[in-house]
Amino acid sequence: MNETKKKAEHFFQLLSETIIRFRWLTLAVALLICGLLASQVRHLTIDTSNEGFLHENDPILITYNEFRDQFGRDDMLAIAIHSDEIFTKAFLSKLKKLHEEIVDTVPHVNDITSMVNGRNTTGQGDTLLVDDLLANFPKTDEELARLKQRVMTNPLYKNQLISEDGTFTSIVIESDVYTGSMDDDLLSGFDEQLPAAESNSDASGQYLSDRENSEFVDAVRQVVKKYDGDDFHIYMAGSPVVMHTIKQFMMKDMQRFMRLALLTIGICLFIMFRRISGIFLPLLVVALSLISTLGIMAITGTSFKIPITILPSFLLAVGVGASVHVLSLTYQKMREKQAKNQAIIWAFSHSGLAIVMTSLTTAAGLASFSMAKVAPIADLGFFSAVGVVLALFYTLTILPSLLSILPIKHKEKQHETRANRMDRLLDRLTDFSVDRYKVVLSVAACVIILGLIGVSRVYFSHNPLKWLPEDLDVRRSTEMIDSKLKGSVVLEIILDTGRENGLYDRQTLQTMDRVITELENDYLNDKLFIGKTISVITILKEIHQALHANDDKFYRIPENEKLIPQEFLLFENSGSDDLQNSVDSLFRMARITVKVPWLDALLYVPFIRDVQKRFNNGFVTKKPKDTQEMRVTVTGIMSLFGRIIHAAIYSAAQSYGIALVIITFMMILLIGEWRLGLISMIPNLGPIFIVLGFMGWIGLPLDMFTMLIASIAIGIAVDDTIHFMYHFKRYYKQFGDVKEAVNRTLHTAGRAMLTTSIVLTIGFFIFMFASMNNLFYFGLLVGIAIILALGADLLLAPALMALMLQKQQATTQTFKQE
Amino acid sequence: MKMTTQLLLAAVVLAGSVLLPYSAVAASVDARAIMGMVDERDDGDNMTGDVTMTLIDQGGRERKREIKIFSKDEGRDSHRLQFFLSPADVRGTGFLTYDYYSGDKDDDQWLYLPDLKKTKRIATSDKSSSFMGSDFSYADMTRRVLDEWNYKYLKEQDVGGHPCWLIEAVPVSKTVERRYGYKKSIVFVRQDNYVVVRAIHLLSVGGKVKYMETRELEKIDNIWVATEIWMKTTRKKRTLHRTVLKWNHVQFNQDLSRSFFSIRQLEKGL
Repeated sequence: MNETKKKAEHFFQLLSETIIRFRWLTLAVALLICGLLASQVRHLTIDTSNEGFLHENDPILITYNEFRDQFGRDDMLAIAIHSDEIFTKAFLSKLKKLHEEIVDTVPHVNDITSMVNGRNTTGQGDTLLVDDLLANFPKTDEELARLKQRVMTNPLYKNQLISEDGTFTSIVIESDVYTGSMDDDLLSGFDEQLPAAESNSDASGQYLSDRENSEFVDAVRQVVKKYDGDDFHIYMAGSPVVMHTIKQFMMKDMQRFMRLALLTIGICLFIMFRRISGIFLPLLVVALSLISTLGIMAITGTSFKIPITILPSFLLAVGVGASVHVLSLTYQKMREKQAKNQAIIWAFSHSGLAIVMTSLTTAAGLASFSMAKVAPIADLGFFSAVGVVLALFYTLTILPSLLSILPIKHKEKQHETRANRMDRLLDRLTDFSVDRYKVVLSVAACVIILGLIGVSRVYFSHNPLKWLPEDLDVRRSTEMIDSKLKGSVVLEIILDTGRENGLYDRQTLQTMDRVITELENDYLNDKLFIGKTISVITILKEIHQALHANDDKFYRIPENEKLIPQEFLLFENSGSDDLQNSVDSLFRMARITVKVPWLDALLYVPFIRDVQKRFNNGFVTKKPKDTQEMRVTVTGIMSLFGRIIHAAIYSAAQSYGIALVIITFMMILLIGEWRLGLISMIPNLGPIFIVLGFMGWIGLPLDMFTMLIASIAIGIAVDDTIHFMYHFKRYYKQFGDVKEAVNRTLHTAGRAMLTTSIVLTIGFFIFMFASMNNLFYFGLLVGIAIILALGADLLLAPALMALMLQKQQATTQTFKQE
Repeated sequence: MKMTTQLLLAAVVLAGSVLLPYSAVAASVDARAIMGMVDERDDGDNMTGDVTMTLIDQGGRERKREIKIFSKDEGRDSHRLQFFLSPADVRGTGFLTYDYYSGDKDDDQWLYLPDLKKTKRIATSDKSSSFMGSDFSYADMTRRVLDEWNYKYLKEQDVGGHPCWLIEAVPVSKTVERRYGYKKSIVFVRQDNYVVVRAIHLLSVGGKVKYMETRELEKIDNIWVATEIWMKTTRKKRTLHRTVLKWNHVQFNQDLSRSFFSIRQLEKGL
């Protein structure tokens, strides 16, 4: 090991010498590589869709896509309009105008439902009427009163078109399932022959893109703004709006605070180094590696998804560190009056291996995420690993060549005092951690135990709405719609009877009806309540009642089973196409839409399980012969999210487990001794557990976003520990004394660690001024993780070394003789 | 009269194509006159026939329906009696339709459900609703009022080796548009027999476009009958649903009395 290390030092010395000799060439080659990768960035696609969270072949996604292909979208845009008196001519005509303007001006609208065109099935004498509610616009007060009576008493409209107290009415808009433009070339639409199976291969089979969703939401918002006013107060919610708002905020805030963080870090670097090169070079390395990583993403055809927005922060956190280590050592040597190039060579031979090891360990740890079930997390793991390796590449090439090329002054005197102050601090840290290692270890043990207790209090959650500021429109609207119209999002249950015309079976329909009613009653006042269920049952009962002169008694499934297909046929001929939203064309599958409030996505998971169980049980007891064929699936965007998060948690836990093993292995390999390697995992993991524990104590949940923060924490903690252990081991071998070794380690690597940590902590704390709550916590948690990692390696690691080695020192000193 | 117009028109077109360059021909073709010919084409009366309707959904799943149809003209109005033959679970279900040529009067439709043993009148204020759950609307099944549309000649195009005129038809008013549910149609009129062999209909709402294609054209009792018609509903070039409609045993000039098209007959069944 000693030999290898010597060889490594020699190698890095040679490398930096060569690079300095061919500095212009190196710079040119490195910039050329970066330029080539950068030229690819324009091909990078951005995918902020919800489906982007899942791998293409994920069964959950396949089920969801099948559902969308069959029935259309489930994620509706919900508008609620409040007025004290809805049933007035003024209000209704304004509603009608709004409805029509949305139809006329908003792109990508597939369907829109409001009181204007709500289904109105009535029987008048011998006449059956299926029409739009406002088909005959009420002209007299009497007609208005009749309309009010009709709307308020019909169970179909309650919590759907009208709130219970009659002061809220809704407009529900369904956007297109598929992307694509309106037909411009109409004449080309004829088939020369009938396709064997409808493939739609000629049309673009792509689902509506996120950009189109944004256009859709923005256009609705534009129209709505014009109509919003006194006694016509409009609320807009539903998952398209929530998702759109989150993405908008996320992109905006992330960009803004990334810039602010960069600025702050630049300023801090200047204060620490008092050199332009000290700001310029680390940030250049980070920028180049970020651009190159994006280039590689483009080349591999990976699209930029929401979780990837954390990548710049991540590269900033780990990329700055490596350059700061090199710069810090170079400037230090230059202060000692060494020639610039000699100083650079010394810095590289001294910490080159440590830098390579930190980068590779971090990369290996993150690469273990690439197996994650949640696609963007897998991407993030893989590309942050790529980014780390690229940052290493630029640190080893561009950094020395530019350092050598740029005129860097030998500064002295003026900063002596400052340098001395830092030296004194490092000396004191050495004394304290080595001499009083017992105190340090006890305190650390207490904090870690407190952390571990906190970890047990951590809970999982995923509620992106809570990321948004509390007073934001969409949050208030969602709450309002959830409370007044009993839900702003839906879950979709698909009942597959397994055979054509299975839904003509009276018993099947009755069981369906019973299970639905039970569900509605059992989830009446829970946090997760059912505000409304819509299914083919409603249509059937409605038409049956209408066929019997609107008699309430006949609001039920027909007794005579033979009537069922006939009534459906009648409905199909009545001018309404609502049936095709509730059943498939073969009457084999029924769709049951369950309206629920917007909640933590994880709360839907047990609900989904319960629903599934109830339907399965219902059909098992009722129809033993059909049980094999019957299949119940729950899908829809909210259930999709619930299960994505569920999967994400387990898959992330797994990834962290793998990362842990890989990092431990690398540490042992690096240190060359398993015992010290394992010990070094304490300062490695301590900070991460404490941050987790902190989250547990303050009640911050682990969600899709906070989970990603751990990747940054790992990167930073591993970096610090490796730098410490690497230098410590070298000095310990040299001097055979723990204290001396710690002191020298802190004066070299420790100084760089301190600089990096101060700079990054301030940089990340800047995020606490963001308007999004998750970014506030992001800044806070990353900042804390950096401080803890620093503390772990400036205090805890020396204390651990003192504990482990001081006794040995007196006796055998196996470590030294190795 | 009919013959003269036709000859005259043919003469004009012929003369045009011989004497004038192509673009000038285009200008000289009178779209309205062609549609007049289409309107006047003899489409038979006192007809009986069986229709097989194949409904094909997005996933290619098929459902078949068989309907027996009787129809009789009453002036420009038409009366129709229809009974489902299959599938078995709707067999005997019947519809009686009085389709009024004049747009001022809503069509009358009665329905008989054999298991309800009752006739119900279905109130419809438009012709745009689906005919028997197919891609055809009631409007597609009946003759359009000539004067309710403005016509524009587009161009000439061959369909299956037969030269056709392509004519664009736009409703004259919002009321008409609402009744038909179309904001524009493009029809392909075969030049030799004035049969509309293809049509494109742009729906007023939902951005849907329907394509009609005649796949079989037969001369029955000297009357051109489209015995196989495809209709598909598309949106953004994507087929949502399609219907294949086949006519069998079409016979004209049957002995159908006026009283046959009555509720009594509807309830009596076949």
